[in-house]
Amino acid sequence: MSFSLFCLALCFASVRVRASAPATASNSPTIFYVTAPRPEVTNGLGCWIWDSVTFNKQTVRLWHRFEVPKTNPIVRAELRIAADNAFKVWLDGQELGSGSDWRTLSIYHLEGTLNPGAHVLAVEGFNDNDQAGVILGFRLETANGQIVEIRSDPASWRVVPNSEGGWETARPTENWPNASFAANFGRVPWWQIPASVLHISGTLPKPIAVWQSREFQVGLFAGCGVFVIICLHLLVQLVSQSKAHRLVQAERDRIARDIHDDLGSKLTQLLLTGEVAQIGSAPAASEPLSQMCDGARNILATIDEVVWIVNSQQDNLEDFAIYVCKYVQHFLQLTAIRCRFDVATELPAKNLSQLVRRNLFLAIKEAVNNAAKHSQATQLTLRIELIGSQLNVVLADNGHGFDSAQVSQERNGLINMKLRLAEIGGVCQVASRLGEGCQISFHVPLKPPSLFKTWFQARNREETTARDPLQPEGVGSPTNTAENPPVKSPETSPVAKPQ
Amino acid sequence: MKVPFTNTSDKATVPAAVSVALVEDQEDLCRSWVQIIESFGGFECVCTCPSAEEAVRRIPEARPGVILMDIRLPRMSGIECTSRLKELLPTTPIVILTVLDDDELIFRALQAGADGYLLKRSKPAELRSALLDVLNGGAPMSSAIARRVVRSFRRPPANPRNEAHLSTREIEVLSLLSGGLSNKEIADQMRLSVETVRSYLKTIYDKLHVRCRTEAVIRYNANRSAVP
Repeated sequence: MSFSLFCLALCFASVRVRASAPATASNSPTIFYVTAPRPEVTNGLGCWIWDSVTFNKQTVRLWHRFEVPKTNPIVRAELRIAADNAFKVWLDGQELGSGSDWRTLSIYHLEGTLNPGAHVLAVEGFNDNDQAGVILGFRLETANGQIVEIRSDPASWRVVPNSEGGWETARPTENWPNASFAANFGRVPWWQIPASVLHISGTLPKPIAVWQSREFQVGLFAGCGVFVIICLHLLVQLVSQSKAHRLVQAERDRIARDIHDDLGSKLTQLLLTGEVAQIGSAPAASEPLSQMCDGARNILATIDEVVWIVNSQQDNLEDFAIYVCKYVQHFLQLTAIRCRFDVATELPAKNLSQLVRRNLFLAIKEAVNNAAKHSQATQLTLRIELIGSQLNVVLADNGHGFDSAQVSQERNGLINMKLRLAEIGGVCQVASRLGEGCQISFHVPLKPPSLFKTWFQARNREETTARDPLQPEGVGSPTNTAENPPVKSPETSPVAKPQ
Repeated sequence: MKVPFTNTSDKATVPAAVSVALVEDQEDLCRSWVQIIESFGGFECVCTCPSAEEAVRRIPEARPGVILMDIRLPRMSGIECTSRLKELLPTTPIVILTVLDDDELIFRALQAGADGYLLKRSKPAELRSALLDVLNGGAPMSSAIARRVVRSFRRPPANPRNEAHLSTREIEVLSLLSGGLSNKEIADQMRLSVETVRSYLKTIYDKLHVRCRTEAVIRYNANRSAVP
């Protein structure tokens, strides 16, 4: 986002520079002086040119492109121009000047350089009434004294339609007609020499840097535009995704509450009824009741687990550690194994997704269960630590251990633990030797998913959910229509018979 | 800690039954509790309230020896009710009853002044020993609760007037407890009697209550209204 803003700023800055470029040209010392109209002032002029038609209050745009020799840049130039009735002249899109007296010849003495390559000389002529024409001669001097001369002539000048925008620099198209011959030099309107000569000094337009060129700016603008649009799109997606995430959380909390309020309370009620029924009853009668109550207790404990997994308010490391410790302590109470916890008092605030919580908890459960069943240990230590962004859960017992090579992995549920860890991008390591206890370590990376990854996953999910509901419909409907007619026909025939 | 039990134990030969007050909104459940508690012998239900509001009104008059409090009640929660009853009857122990083992909720009830907690699914024998334990000044504390207590004392109290600090011994007991040791193991390790460990825990609960007098209730209610 900040990058796109930077691009936009750059664009505006460059536009400002572009806009100010002609201003600097005209701000440079412009000296006007008038000389007597001597015959030589008309040297190098072409003929009078105009559009194919002439009418009053007419504006005609004349356009000419010329090449500066590759090895020789222009160091000086002189433009002589006059128009009946007025003109404005541009070189490479930058205005050189204008004139509005048909009897005056304007001579621009231009200093500066003009780089090799193509350049465009553009003249806009205006006709007030009656005859019209533009006459000019452009004399360019290269660094090594070579002269390039451009004159107004119908063959090399084009007339640009008035609808054309940015025509002072644009490339010609096929519908730009050639200019028309209006009059030879030496005939109307001046005859041989102008009434006066106006000398103006100026500078050749500075070369435009690549980043100042119109193409580059348009490209940059388009690029920025596309970038901004992509940013907005991503933003909208993220917002809607986080909205969806909040909805899912609210739904999870609702499920947790419902399970608690409905299932939990009602089952508790059943359990207490069972306990009350046992009061004062004969041992023979109370035995099945007691079994029933124990069953209900187990279900309630399972509900506890489900509610904990579902509850979104406990999606953090601290709650996870507390819950796991509580579970392990409670589980080992019924065994001869003591439990010890090695967990920092203050765990860093870190979010743990439901997926991680669930899989890691079930893996730990499996490991504790294994220890209780097979290890014959007297002590089990549970360590939970966050190192960098890696969560480590280590369960170490002091039991008789086993030779990892000899014991079938399936029996110990090791494969299950490995699969659970793989599902959350973690690894499970089992280290044990005969007589030296067993240590099971789970390592889970807790890096926050990148913006792009989240977006990509969200897209994938959208696609799969969008595709799935269509599938049964597409398969189901053709078979239905194929089956319907044969079923219907025997039904209709008995009805038809009485008729 | 003044224990109501001691009042009756003066007549050591025939100890009168301990009076129990019960706050439970479900009628069936309430009836079952009464039957179970009275089946123990030595306990007598003197007051059953279907709501927290009624409990605040009626229980102070009944002056029970111990109060059993459901945590989820309509309108006013069991946690707020605990807090209000503690103001009215500071020496009467309150045991929280909960359907699910949600230690966040249990911890808030302890902050509000509860002296013990019990899952509703506990066996009747466990209920009996929990009642006797709390009447004898005991304070049950699991490693999960111990962790929360330690964390809670690390933060400054919401109201500076409620400042209360744990002694080094108390902190030691808590850290051993959160390390998974039982009261007996702690006693062995610290060369104390189990009774002393229990009294430490009781003091910790009292200090927790002092620190969080009103805060816990407010936080719980705020959380509740956030989730419709």
